[in-house]
Amino acid sequence: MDINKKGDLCLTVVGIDISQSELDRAPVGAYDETICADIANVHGLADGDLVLCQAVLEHVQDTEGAMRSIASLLKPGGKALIFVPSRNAVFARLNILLPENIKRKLLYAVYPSARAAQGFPSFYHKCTPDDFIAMAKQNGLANVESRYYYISSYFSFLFPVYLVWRIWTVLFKFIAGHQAAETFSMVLVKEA
Amino acid sequence: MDCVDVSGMAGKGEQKMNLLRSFINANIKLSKWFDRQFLPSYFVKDGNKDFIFEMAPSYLRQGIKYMMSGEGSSLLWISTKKAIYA
Repeated sequence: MDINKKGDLCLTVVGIDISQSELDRAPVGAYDETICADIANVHGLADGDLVLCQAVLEHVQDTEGAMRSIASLLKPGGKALIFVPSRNAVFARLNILLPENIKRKLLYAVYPSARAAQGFPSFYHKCTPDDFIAMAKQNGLANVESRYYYISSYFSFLFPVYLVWRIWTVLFKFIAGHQAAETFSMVLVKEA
Repeated sequence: MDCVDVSGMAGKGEQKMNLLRSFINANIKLSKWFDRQFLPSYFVKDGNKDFIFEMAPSYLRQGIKYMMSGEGSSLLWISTKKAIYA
């Protein structure tokens, strides 16, 4: 968040996170209000114009609850922008299968820069495009835009592995369409 | 107690790590080259960057360069309350 731009646009920015220390790491003035809570249990006042959620929901066990919370934060016509890795991605499946300490060691060994932002426990509960659209609909959110992405860098450290993964992603896309996406983003609008 | 000079050992370890890092970087470059050469552009579009630099700013309408590096905001939610939409 660019503080100057925030001021120029007269935004009121509310940060919500399960960790107060994570919120405290934001630059001074970034948030006008902070809510330290599990996003799956937030009861909003339906006064938000925009909820932005980037690579968060894969870390939430109760994704349905999180979608309910998002809907509760938005006023009618308000939008939620969501970016999330898909449960169907190979890296997500590995993430679910591998023990936490082993995958963290592997990740940090190959990609040391990931230490700052990655390595949180992930569940990918209902993290597929179709599940998201269904959960959104259940909570009065209409999907108005979707973008699907078919790349992730986890396997690029060893080209032969990357090549096998690439062949799989191309075949999977051919078979399953957008459900084969590695990551996806959506724009959801709260219906009046 | 005898003192052991470990500087040489540390140097060798560092050398090995640098070699490994170079090997990994070369593989990353090769993987990117492969994608660019043989796959359509929608297969190589980075979702995270697209979300931060294209999708989110386009919905703010006023052209904000919206940066979310993850540092201090890796589990970030932002709810903007004021009317920024027409």
